[in-house]
Amino acid sequence: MSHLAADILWGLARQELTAEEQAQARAHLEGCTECQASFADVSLATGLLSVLPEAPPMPEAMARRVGQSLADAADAKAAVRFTSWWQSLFTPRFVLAAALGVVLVTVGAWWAAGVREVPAPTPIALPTPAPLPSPVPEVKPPELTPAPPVKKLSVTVASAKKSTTQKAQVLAEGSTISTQSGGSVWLKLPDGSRAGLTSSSEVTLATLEEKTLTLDIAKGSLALVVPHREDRLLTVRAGEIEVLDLGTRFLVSREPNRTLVAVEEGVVSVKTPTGEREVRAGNAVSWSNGALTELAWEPPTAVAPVVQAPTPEKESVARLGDDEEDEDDGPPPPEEAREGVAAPDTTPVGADEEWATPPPPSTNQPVRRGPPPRVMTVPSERGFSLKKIERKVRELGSRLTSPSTREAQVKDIAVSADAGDCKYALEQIDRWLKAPITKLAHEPQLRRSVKTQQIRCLNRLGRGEEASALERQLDPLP
Amino acid sequence: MLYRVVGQSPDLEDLVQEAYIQLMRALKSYRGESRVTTFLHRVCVNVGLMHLRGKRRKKEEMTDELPEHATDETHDPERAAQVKQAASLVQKALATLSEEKASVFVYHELLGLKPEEISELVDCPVNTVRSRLNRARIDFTAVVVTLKRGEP
Repeated sequence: MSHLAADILWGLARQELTAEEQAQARAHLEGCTECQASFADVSLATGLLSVLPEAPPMPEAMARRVGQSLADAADAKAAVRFTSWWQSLFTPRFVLAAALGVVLVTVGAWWAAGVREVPAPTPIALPTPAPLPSPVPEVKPPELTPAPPVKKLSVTVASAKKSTTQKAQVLAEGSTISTQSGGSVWLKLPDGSRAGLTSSSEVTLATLEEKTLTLDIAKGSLALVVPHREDRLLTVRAGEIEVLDLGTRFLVSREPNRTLVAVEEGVVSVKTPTGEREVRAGNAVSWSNGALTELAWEPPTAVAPVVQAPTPEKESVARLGDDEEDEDDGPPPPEEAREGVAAPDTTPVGADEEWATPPPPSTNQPVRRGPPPRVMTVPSERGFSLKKIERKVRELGSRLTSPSTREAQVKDIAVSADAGDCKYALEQIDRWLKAPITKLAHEPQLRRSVKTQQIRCLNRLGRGEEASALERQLDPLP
Repeated sequence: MLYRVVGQSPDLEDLVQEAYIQLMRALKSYRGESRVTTFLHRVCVNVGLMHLRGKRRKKEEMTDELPEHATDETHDPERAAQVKQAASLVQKALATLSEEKASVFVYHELLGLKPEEISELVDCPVNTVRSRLNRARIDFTAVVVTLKRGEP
């Protein structure tokens, strides 16, 4: 005699069988000890499921927002694309969807984070989206616009520190991301490119289309690792400057009076109001006061090999959200394709390799004000570092605006200290103080200024005693 | 009422936010080719399952993560403990299932969807859904039994 199949046992335990099936199953069970044992196991499993309480309702504020957004979307789409009969059909559909959304978002999250006892099976009070009070924007929902003629893509936040965005957030066209001092953000663009914002930067995702990706820098620096593709145009705009990628790693930095484009690998095309020119690896250009100046950028020390990502396995939308936090500010390893998002069909070239600069000491981290700095490990084999880029940009900026190398170094130290990169500043200070004293007329002033920065940095790093000792030794002002 | 609960669990709030964001994104690209509920389901189940998967990867004890304070004091503490234990076991068992099986299992056993509805969600034939569900049930039972035996 054959035994009862698993689906019959489950059906029986979950009371999903017809009366006839149920009777047959029970008859078999009575005479079969093996199936009784299996049924006991199945009952144990289904028993757990039946113990779980009903999904509680969603927070009212969020339910309101979801409902509002759904209703807005319905209105927008209806206005643009459909005739009134469809609109009349469409709107109630979204009202229903809002209600379902309320339940399902709660269920999904509830299952994920753990279950706890909730007040007895309360009827799920679904806020109807129809008479909506103006929602309180606790979490600003992405702007919903009428259906665009071109398919719009999205950008995923791969990592974020001290920023207006957060890891795993999906950003739509028009979103603006900014970082605070000491912050950084890595974005994964829909074509597989990576874009990294250094601290105190602001970037807007101006266009996110299959063939056109445009990022606008309002301030700060943006580093890009871009696989070259003929089928799409990636442009970074910084005020009057437009940088077109031609397959490369480059960086665009915008300051109030200067825009810098530096290329570590490959080549970019820089468009200015007066013309267009290519910038190749190891070179940089600075646009200031309507003039483009060519500069030397530290040439790559090693050619990064092409890294082929492992075959992407099927992924779901939330894949990015569950990675462990890490403090490295290099670009994250390539993520697999995600459902619902245009899957990148290329892998960023060498995204996981060092980006042409020697690895800094692992303690080279920006110093946070207040509590003592956290010691963070930065595996040097992972990605190029936004900190390094920031330092290079600062260093170059100081060089451009100082009459001598000696003074440029002083300026770099001051700017680094201002940016909170105290450990780096201290290293530079050390080097500067050890260097031979020059015959510059204001060498004593420079020296004093450097020592002042040293005291400031030591204080910030919580090394108050050393700072006080130095302060006592500080030469009086001439 | 739940807002209090959600607010008390940083994980949960993140997940609700994540689901919300994904929902908004999905909605934006909605072209009317599938039911609205289709991507609502997908978003929520994916967010939930991926979270469990992430936890399994980090080898965290989920039981420790369940907030104690969220239990309503007016309720039977025994029942609360029972629910907590059941939830923990279900989560652990789900985390061991493959993504395909876990999602079908959640759709059917936890959300009460019919195989025909799931078929649309996971974009495969109803028979495939049925066989996945069957395998998921077998795996789930085995894991639960093992976990139960492992308990003191």
